[in-house]
Amino acid sequence: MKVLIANRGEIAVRVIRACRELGYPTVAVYSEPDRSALHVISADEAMPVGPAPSRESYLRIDRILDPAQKTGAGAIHPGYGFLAENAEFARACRDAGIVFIGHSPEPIDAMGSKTESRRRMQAAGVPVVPGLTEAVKSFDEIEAFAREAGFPIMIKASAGGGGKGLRFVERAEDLRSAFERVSSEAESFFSDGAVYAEKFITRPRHIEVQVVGDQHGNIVHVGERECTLQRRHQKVVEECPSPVVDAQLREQLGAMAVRAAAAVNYYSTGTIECLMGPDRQFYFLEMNTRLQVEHPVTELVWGVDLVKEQLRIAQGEKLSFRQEDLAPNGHAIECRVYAEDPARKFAPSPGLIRYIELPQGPGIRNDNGVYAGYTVPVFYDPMLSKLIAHGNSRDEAIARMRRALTEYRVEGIMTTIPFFTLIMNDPEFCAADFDTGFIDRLVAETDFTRAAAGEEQVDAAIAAAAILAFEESQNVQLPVDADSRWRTAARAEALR
Amino acid sequence: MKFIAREGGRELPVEVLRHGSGYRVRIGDRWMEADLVRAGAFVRSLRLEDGTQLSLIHHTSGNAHEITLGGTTVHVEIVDPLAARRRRREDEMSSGGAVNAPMPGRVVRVLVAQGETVRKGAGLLILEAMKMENEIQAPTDGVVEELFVAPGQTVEAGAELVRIA
Repeated sequence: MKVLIANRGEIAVRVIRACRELGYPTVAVYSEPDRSALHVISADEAMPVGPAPSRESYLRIDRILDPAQKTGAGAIHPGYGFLAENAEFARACRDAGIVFIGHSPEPIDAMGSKTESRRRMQAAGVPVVPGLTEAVKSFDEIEAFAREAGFPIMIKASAGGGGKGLRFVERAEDLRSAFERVSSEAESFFSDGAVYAEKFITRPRHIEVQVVGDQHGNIVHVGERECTLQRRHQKVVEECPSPVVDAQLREQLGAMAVRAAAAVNYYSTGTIECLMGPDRQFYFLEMNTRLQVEHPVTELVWGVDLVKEQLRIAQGEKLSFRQEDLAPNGHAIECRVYAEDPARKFAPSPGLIRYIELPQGPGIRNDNGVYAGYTVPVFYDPMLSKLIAHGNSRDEAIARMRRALTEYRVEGIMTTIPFFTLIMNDPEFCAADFDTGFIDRLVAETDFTRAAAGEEQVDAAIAAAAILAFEESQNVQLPVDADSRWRTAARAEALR
Repeated sequence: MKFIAREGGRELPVEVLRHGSGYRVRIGDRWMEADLVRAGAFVRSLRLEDGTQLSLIHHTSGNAHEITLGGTTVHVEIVDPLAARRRRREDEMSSGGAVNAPMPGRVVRVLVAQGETVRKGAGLLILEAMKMENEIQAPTDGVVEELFVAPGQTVEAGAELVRIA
């Protein structure tokens, strides 16, 4: 079965690896600036899908299906992001007679809507954050809810978003004024005065449970991941298992996740995201009907290959393991390496990678998407690669990650590697004592400016630059202000 | 051969002479012996006379050298003495206050108008890169003398966006 990978970067490379292990030929797709990207080099064949903007290339269903048909690909893996959770795409594949490596379109529809997924989960007995499912018209309804659920609560505008039209209420005496303010903001910002309320989980942790199901009704869970460390609502460090989940709680979480997946007849890999309070009460947040970015931590600890499993499931095969075959082994941590400059408020840092040295050695896995000489384009997500460390214990995994981060060198662009070194050395992180606000607090109190060069380093750099300038002047008589050898060569060529 | 090295706001006379298979280099009034070999596409190995070996990641754009060693980056410009004099004059004449694009991207919004007075740190425009919007801020107090970009425009890293006088 030939497989087309409708994605780019490290995840496309990851899927190509799984295909190779199963003996499937692969087809990469690329937008114009991606023609020399690593996923294109890695695949057996590569086809263009359009210009740089995603909506004209990687997000165009017709432009993805066309090369699939031209190359005779029998299946499409969507990776994550782009078209991975687009039910229309899953349907279009089915209509074109191409196997979509994921779930059937139906659960995607059902889980795409927050209110619909919440309703289905409640019906299946899955705990959801206590809240009003319908907008309220009167203050009395909010008050009754607050009395029942207990403070703190959040009052939110139904049509709200972007942090507007919501209030955090801790005390009963503040409830009325908060309700009135949110109602009036909702009216003026969104022309819709409807509001609803939800229990606020204090110091929450973000825990997610991996599930895998086949098309024969078998669903198992593959443990949980700790995804509490987030920046701009984007996960940056993930762990498996969660340091706060013991075997008993893992069983409860797993059973809940399997129930949730069964409620929508789910197959392929999926993730049930939950919030967990300090009291270890957990609440369903949402279900992701795709392969997650952070799947490698689960793979290392549970000894499964989730991508190969997806490929088999899509062809109608049964799961290759049963629940009782699975047991966690040790601990894994993942750092998402971004082309961002921590010293400049994590501003994007695209550009030419002049040098890259990926860490290796015991317990280290790189899901990498770049190479030396590659130019990181400005058009896409800044994630370059994922660094994953596995050890017998959380402490060993952290020590390996710390060691790997010192080996990791990327020159030419700035990356978030120094930021991860900081996290791995943080006492609170090492003690697993954190919540979703951890990163914001850490970033606020840290100066990421690179250490200034010492006098000897400056001298060495000046000497090297002067020697190079000297050699240059001896070799070729370049114009003094030449900006690149290429351009110089091109000019010379043009004058011939 | 004599050069001027411009580094960290200062100018140093530099001289390079062949010496055996390596070089003698004068920086200011200090002489050192060193050799330099290519170790990879952007990698150079510098060996000093006492045997100290330093791995450098080197990139050059015209006369501007960017050299990373031991976790820090040094920016050095190596120019011939005549060019250095010309550059000094140019520096004195320019009013400064140029705000350049820190990264390639697309201008989403321009937040100021020509002639507007801005405070240091005020948002000048929004530059979108890698699916993120980045606010470009005024480096100093001043008046927006000139705007070089408009919404929708794509710019390269280093492109002049705004001049503040």
